[in-house]
Amino acid sequence: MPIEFTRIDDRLIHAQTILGWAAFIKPDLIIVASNEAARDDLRKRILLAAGSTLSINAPDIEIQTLDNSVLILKKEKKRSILIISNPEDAVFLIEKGVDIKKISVGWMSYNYGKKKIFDTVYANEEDIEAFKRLIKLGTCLSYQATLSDNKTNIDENIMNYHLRSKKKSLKCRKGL
Amino acid sequence: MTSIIVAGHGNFAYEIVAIAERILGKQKNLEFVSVESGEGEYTLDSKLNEIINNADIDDILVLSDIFGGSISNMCLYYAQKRAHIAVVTGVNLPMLIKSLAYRDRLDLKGLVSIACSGGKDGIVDACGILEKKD
Repeated sequence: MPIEFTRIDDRLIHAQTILGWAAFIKPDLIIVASNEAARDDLRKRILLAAGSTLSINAPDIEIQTLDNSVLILKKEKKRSILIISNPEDAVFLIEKGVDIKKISVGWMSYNYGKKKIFDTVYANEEDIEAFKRLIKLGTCLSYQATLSDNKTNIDENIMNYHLRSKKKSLKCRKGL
Repeated sequence: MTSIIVAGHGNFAYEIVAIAERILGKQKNLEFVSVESGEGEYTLDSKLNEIINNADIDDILVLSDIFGGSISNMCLYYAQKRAHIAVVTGVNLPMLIKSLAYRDRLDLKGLVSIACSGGKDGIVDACGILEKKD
């Protein structure tokens, strides 16, 4: 089950994942594990068209629910890149027995109530708890915006810091 | 008149719109959406909604930077869920200028085809053209 590279990027398939990471790693398979994308036919068609148009080495591209991804990744023989949207999905896959040792965290979009934890990563409390869970599970986490940027190791202290400051800012807003 | 929205990464959309207006003069119903690092669907959707709700528009042509890029993917998703919005990718200055020049005499379908051909016609082996004429 050789997952060569796991990336958290909620844009899933786009220029950077395909022309940057996939062109560098040259996988035989790009698997997107996301219930939202797999169950949204329009989004799935757009992402597959994006992947096949942009890709240079023409890897197979699959967009699968988390459950299907578990089945596929447990027996997959091809060199693969795994792309997921958030740390919660990573926890799910690992707890179902998918062998993910390292995760490169790249991009989590802003949405209401999310807080910036790195330049291109916005997280809510659940995301931060999931990052902490991944660290407890022994997964090596790093933040790297693009291929040429430096890697920042993500440890529990960083996550605890954001969790504390988030709670504090919520309290301030409520006037406590 | 069809409205044109240019969407791109970083300052790309702002700059290309500014340059087109420097060539053609100030344009009505020409907007840009710049998506910065860290912004996603939430921001793009609200920016597009704001432009579309504020303008007195029938049809909208979105010109985005690269097919398969996150912004084009989001624009395409947005457009497919609505009527009267078309998306053409790979925007360059010839495409934008030609689209602006023809938008008051063509319907959306015709404008899409002018945008595509205008963009492609602007890509030329310029030295090669000179050689042919010799």
